[in-house]
Amino acid sequence: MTGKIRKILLSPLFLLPVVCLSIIVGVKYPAIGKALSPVGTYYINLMKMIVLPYLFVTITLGIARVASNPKAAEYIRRIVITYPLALIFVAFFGVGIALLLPPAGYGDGSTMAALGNMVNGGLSGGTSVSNDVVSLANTTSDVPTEHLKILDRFVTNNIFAALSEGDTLKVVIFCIIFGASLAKEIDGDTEDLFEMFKVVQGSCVQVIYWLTLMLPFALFSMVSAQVAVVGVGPLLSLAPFMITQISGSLCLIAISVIIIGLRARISPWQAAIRLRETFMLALTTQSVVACIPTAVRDMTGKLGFSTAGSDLLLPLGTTICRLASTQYFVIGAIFAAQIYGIDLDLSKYATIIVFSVAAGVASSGSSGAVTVVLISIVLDSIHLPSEAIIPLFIAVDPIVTMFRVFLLVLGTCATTSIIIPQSNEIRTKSTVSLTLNTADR
Amino acid sequence: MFGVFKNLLTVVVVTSLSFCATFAEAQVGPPDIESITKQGYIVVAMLGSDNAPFFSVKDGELVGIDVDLAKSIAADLGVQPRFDRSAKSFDEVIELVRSGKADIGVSKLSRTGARARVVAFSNPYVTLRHALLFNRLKLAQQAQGMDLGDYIRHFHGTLGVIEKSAYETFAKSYFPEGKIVSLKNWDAVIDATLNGTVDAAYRDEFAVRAVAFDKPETSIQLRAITINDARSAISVAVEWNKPMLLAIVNQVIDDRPSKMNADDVMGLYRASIATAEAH
Repeated sequence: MTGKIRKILLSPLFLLPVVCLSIIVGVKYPAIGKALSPVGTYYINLMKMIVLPYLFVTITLGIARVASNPKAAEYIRRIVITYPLALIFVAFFGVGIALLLPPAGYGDGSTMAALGNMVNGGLSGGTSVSNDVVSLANTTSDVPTEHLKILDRFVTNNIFAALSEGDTLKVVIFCIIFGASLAKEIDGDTEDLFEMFKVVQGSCVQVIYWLTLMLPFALFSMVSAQVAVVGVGPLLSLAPFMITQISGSLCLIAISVIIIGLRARISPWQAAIRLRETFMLALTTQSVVACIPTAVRDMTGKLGFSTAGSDLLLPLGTTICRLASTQYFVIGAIFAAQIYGIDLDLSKYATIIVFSVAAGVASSGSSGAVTVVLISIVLDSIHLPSEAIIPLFIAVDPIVTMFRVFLLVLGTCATTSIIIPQSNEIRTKSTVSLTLNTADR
Repeated sequence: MFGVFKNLLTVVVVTSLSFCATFAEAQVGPPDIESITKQGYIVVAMLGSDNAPFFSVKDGELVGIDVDLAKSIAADLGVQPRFDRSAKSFDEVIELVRSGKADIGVSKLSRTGARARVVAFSNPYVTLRHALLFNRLKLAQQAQGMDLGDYIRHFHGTLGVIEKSAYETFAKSYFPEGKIVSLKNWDAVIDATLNGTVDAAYRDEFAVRAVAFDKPETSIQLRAITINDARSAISVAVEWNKPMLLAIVNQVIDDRPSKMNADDVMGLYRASIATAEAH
């Protein structure tokens, strides 16, 4: 019975009208859209609530399984080759799409004025101009300059602090070390611990399954709230930038689906259908971690990739192989160059690619506005000002981030499918019944 | 003989009469005030081009902070203000006061050492911090990740200022390593900054913030940086030999409820733009 309800609730035929309706509500009745936004926040919070325990047990188990596997070296070799290649490919792709569809468009005076107002923080709305203050006498009251210590982001001195702050990247690093140490000597006790982890993992998946039933309602509130908050103004003046970002993401998502289809030995269309729950979640939750459990379930249960590999590589890939951020930075940097009328030569393009990959790695574990701010790494490298560009990107980020998360999840599914072999029993049935799915976990 | 005596008598009478008159005047009040009250108006020098919200012509009427202040001073003297707007630069306003062609100068005037040598300045009625309006691209290329404060403290680029304004003087003393380019007016300075002829425009924080308000399309190109410890005291210039007039000007300023800062000026400016748009 619940299976049937679930099928209806999550069917694209039901979800698509929900999305359309929520956009209409967001545009026509922004007050309602804003009032509904807590519903979406609660939903994401519930998802995140269960994700950290899930990640903890899943990655530890995944690492332990892989490390105790005689083929561990082969896995690591594949990861080391696939991730950098994927990042570089994505960066080049970003350059290509930005050359094809100029992200800065052909801005006229009124567009520039609208962008200027965004930089000034909605000056016409009455708020004061954001303003930097310095002193001529060398005092400490100067503008603090942000020094991004990349390595600080990886290691924690307190795993419980990292867990309570929801610092995914540090938790992942800890789990890798912890999992590797467990795999060093597997005996009865460690097996017991693994069994316990599996139970925890199973119950987490159960909670996530319940939560997906609420998706249409959460979807409605999240989309209408986003549309209501962003408004139409920034969307219009930054339309070319968003079109470039979104088309770039969609093209790479299509490529990802083709790769997944090839690796699963089914048609891309079939692959897309089997991944539809991941699709919906990735497009709507704006949270990569919230999508991981569903992506793992779709990859293993419906596409037949090995559980051990998916369990490990999906959380790992989304955390360190930041495909979507890399493409985002490339297009963002080209946007800035076009806005400031700077001609880019080959060496500058090369610099953008290298630093976008680096900034992508630096964005590990971050999301939303934090990711956007890291564009300064790339812009600094080609001596372009970032402080006026960041507010623009933040203004439209609620929309762009949807596609960034979408691409990151699907891109990681694709890199995962390249790295791990498909398990022996390939499921050929187009739909996998819920019972099978439940039995699988 | 009689003719000589007659002439002598005339001289004596005229001299004694004028002496009496002077004596009588001295009894009535201080000469600097007396000369103004006698003519029935006070000549106020004010820059020819408008500087809202300090002084500007709206619907054929001169309005603004400076205009109100000049009217208050005139009211305390019991005379009418008469505005002389022949000055083409801020320094020319000072010159009008120095030469005695105007009694006072109320024209968003900043105090500088050079000016204080030729005219007397009142207490400030507005205090504005200095500010730089940078061409963002030039700033990013030159600062290259340097600390912003360090970069500005050792600024050695090109600064655009309004010619014959106090900021010509300020620029030389605060940015000795910088190259100073004086341009006709503020609009010319902004244009030069936009096209990169100069790296930054230099003026007070209100003028710099007003650019973002008036021309939001420039905000992508231009970045405002306020200097916290360089202030310009906007004061009234009074002819050096009119101590009582200076005292009255100071009294009018001190009796105002509060001293204005950039936020207040900006608020007035927005309000004046809003009413202009409503018309």
